[in-house]
Amino acid sequence: MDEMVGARIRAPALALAFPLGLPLPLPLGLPLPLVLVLVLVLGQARAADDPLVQPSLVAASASIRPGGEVVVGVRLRLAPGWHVYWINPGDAGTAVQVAWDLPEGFAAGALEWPVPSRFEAGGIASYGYSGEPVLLATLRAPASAAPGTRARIAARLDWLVCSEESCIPGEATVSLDIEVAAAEPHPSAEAPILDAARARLPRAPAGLRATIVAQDDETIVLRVEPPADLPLDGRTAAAGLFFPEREGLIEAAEEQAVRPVAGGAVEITLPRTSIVKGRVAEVRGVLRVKRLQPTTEEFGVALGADAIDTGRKGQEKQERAR
Amino acid sequence: MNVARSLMTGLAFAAVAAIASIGSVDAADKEVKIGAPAPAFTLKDTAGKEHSLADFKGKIVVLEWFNHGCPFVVKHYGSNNMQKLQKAYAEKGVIWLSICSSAKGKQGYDTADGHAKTAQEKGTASTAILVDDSGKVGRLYGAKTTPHMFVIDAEGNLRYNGAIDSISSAKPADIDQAQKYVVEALDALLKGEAPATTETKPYGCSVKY
Repeated sequence: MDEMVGARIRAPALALAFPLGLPLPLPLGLPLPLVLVLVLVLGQARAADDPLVQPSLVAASASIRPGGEVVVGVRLRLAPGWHVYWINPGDAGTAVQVAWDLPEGFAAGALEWPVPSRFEAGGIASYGYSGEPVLLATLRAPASAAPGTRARIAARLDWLVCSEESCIPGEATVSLDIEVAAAEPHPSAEAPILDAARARLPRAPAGLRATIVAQDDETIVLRVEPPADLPLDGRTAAAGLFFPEREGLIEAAEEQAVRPVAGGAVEITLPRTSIVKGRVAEVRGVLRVKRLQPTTEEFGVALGADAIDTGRKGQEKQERAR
Repeated sequence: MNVARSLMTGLAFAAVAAIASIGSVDAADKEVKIGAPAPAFTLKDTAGKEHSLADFKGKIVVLEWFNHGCPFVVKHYGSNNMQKLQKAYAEKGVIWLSICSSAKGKQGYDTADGHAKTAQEKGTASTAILVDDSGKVGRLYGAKTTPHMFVIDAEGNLRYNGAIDSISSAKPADIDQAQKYVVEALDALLKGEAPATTETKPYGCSVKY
C-alpha cells in the first residue's frame, strides 16, 4: 500500500525536475547545455532513491565504550528550495519522524532539534529547515556491551518535504555500525558535522527568564528578561520570531510585535488562534535572536514561560509589583 | 573606552525580523467565526456551472479543500475514506463541495476538464467540484491545508473549522483510529445538536495558492 502511494506521488517530483515544463523524452534540437543540465538532473534523480532528501546517520565517534555514550545525528540533505518540518510544523506540514532501531540494551535520548526557520508562501507559514538539517540524539550502550563486537544503529525516518509549489512524502531507514571498544573513542570523520549541528541547537543561557505577562482571546504576551551578559536590544527588535512548540497556539503567518520594556527586557505579542481556547498556563519554544556585536550572529534561545497570573489583568499586576 | 568595550562585548541583540510580507490568509481567517454566517461565495464547477453558497440554504454544507498531489489528500482518497463520506452524507441530504485552490503551475492545479476526469477516476462523490485557482475563496475562508474542512449548518452559519480527523499523518492506517471531527459535527447537526468540537488545527500540505 505504502509503495503504491510512493509510486503515485513520485511523479510530481519528476515533473518538478523539469520546471520548464518540457516533456520527459528529451526533445531533440534543444541547446546542448540545457540538455546536459536535464541529463544531470535526471541522473541525480536516478542515482538517489529520493533526490529531494538524502538522509544519513552520522556518529561523533567510530566506537563506543560499554556503558558509554555517542552523539549521533540524523542528517537530511535537501534539494534547494525544499524544506522539512520542526516539532511544530506551523500552519501546515508535519514534523520529521525518527524511530530508532537499536541493539539490545542500547538507549537513545530525546531528539534535539536545531533552531527552525519560518517559510511563508501564499499567507501560510511553516516552521522547519532547508539546507542540511541535522537532528541530534545521544545513544548509550549497556555496560554489558562486549568489546570487539559491532553495534548496528538504525533509524526509520518519515518526512514530508515541501517547496512553494509541492509537497512529497518520503521514508527511509538509515543505519551505521559502531564498534564497541574499551579504549577511549576517537572523533570520527563526521564529528565536525555534529559539532556544527550542536551550534545550531537552541541555547539555554543561564539567568534568562520568560513569563506570560498577559493574555486574552487574541494575544499572548511574553516578557523575556535576558541575563546581564545577553541583553536584548529592544530598539532594534522591530519584530520577533518566536516558535512555540505547541501546535495551533499562534497564527504562524502573522507578525509578532516586539517592544522594549524597562530593564532591558522585551515583550513579544504572539497572535493567538481561536483553536486553543481558555487560559494558557505555559508556553515553550524557541526565540530566534540576532547578536549584532562584536560580530553578527543569529541563534535561538530555548524559552519556557509560565503565566504569572490569570487573564488579561496579568500585565497590570506585574507592573504594580515592580 | 567603556562604551567601546560594551559594544565589543556584544550588547545588541535583536529578535530576528527575517520574514518579509505577511499574507492575508489569517486576516481573513478572523472573519470566519464559529456560529457566524459563513462568507458568501460563488465558484464554477468542472462543467462551468456556477454554485453559490446561498443556493444551498436549508441544507448542511461541507467545504473540503483538496489537492490530489498532496500525500494527506492521497491518504483520504487512496483509502476511499473521502468518497465514502461524500456518499454517506449525500444520502442524508448534506451538500458536499470539494474545492481546489491550487494556483496554475502548483501541485494540485488542473483545468476544469482535468478535475472532472480525476474525479471520475477516483469516484469522487461530492455535490460539486469547484475550481478556485485564483485562491479567492480559499483566502476568504482562511483555508490553510489540504484537506481543510468546514461544516456549515442549514441556516448558513459556520459550525466546524479544521481537520478532517485527529491524526495528522499521511498514513491510511491511521484513519480508523482517529477521532472523526467532521463526521461528529455532521452527525450532531443532523440530530439537531451542536457539534462538540468546533475548531481544530487542520493538517496537511499548505494550500498551494
